[in-house]
Amino acid sequence: MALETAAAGATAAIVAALLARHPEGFTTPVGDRAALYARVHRVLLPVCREGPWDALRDILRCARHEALGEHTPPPVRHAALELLAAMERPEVGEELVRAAVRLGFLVPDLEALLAAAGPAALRAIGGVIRNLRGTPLGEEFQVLARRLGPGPWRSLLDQLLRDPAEEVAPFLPLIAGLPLPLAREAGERLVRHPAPEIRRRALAFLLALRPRDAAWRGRVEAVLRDPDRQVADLGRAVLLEGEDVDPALLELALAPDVPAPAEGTIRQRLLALRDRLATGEEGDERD
Amino acid sequence: MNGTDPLLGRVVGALAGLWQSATLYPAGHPARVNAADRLSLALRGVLDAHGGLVVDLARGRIRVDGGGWASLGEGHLGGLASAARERGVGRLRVSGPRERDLLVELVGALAGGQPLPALPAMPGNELGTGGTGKGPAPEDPWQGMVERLAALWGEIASARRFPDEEADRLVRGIAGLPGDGVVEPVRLAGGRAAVSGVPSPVAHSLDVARLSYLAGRVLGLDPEPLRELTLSGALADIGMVDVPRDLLTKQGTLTPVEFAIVRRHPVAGAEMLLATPGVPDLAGVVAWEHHRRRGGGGYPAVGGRERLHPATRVIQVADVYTALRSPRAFRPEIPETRARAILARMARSWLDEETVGLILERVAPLGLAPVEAPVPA
Repeated sequence: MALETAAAGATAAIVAALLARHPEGFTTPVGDRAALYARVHRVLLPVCREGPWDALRDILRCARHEALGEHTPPPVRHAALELLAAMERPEVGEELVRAAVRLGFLVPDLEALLAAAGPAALRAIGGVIRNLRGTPLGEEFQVLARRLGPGPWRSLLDQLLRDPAEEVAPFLPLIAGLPLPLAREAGERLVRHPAPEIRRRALAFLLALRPRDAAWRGRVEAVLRDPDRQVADLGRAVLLEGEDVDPALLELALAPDVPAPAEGTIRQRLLALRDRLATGEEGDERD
Repeated sequence: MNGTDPLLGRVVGALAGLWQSATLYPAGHPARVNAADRLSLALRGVLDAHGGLVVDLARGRIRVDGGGWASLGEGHLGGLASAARERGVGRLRVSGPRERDLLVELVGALAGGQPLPALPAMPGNELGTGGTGKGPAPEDPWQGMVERLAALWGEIASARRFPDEEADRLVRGIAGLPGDGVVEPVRLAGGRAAVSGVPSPVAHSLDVARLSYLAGRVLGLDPEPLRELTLSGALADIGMVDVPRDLLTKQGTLTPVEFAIVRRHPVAGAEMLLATPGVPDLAGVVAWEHHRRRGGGGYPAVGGRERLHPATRVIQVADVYTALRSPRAFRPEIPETRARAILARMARSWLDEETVGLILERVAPLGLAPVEAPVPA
């Protein structure tokens, strides 16, 4: 008889019942609600690992309701917010993703919890997605990553820009599966990553997306003078792919003795340079 | 109450209120404090008007100085008279604030089965020698533990506070209790409380905790899980503080409404325990589950999980076994052989069969001898 079995899961199930409105008429006093949220906070990791996920989902629903409620007493609101914030801790995302990997598929309650974990879930998914390529769970994670929307992704990208290259690389396949505007935004932001390898891959990614607007052009132009030769070359390729630019003129514009484009885009400067050259050639011929 | 003095009538009403609160709530509970204040005020009124009064607790009567006796009534205060006789308390003359406070303290001590206060030797007093003439109850460790557990219930129920060190002392005390408390009905704390006319869920919980502790020892639990199991047994019924005393002492079957009130105690208990920082998770889980049945059924009917926690299964058996072996207001204690037969039948329907075997074959016999093994750190 395993008397030492942890009581975390049962605790979460009971707290969910206490917080919910039941036919049996449980109505937890306001004074106790904050303490119940704190109790769930304490058992959060084991519950993410083992469940019951439906109970945790119900508790989080109550917590969101109380956090946003106009008349929620401050201590209850504070405890509810603390619990919601705890869901975004990296270890929470890891436990949830591990649970899904153990199961081999995503049950709806687990999917809801991963959505609540936001960037933490994305980060954890990025850690396992390479090993799940081509599997049903890998597909499900891809779909979930797409469904999470821009908020968690922007938050994650902020973190990724500070991370070493080997930790960012696993996310690139996930980014590739995002809706176009979000994928392009991710690519443009990763172009500023300190590691040349990531910058190269982000540019290659942008090249594949073939975007056309001015903002994109400005971001890519910024890498034309990248200290890494391959990054600069790739930036040039991206620019040429997207623009009708003469490669020779581009080389000329990037020559060391040509001033850096402080004003306007490289395209504008190239056009100006071409005009000047055309004028100069004519002058030379007259001379 | 036959007396005609309205001031005396107020004293009797306040006495009944304090008796009811003190048997229902632990010391320090706001309801009990209010009731004590009401009695003090009523006594002051009589002292101002008549100079003094005599309360004959053992015979259930009261009179003002120079007046005739009036009955305290058999209804609410019948239990007070029998508790006073059981503890050897006779009559007390109240003539000033000191005796007034003493009477309040005395009623509380009789209701909670706590040690009696030191009593002044004054003319008219028969305290400690009156009534049945047995003298004050001897000190015994079970009584101290009941008081300690009652105080812990009070802290949790009224202040949502869990004094960790006090809980540790309680567990150590339970571990060190003499072993003969488990199988001899009159030695069971809950049974003794019921015999004295004071139904005490606290005392019954002490028996449950003791048996759970022994089960944990037999199962070779480490100190921390053993502590949690013992505390869970001691706190499983804490929701009973919300159940009126009348229902605990009622003879015969409860009405559906009364039963619904009693059935709420697992929810109320779990709520108190889980909302009290520092209380182990397990205690809240056991409080919620201890009336649910294996494979569904029981109450509360919602929430929790289908499969009961193993600790709950142990505490359920300990609860049923100690309840069967203790007398209740509505029945005498059930003999050991019959209790075993009932448990075996329950094991076929809703109690955990393995746990029933464990308690009956390996744990209950331990109660016959003092436990000499080390107590949890």
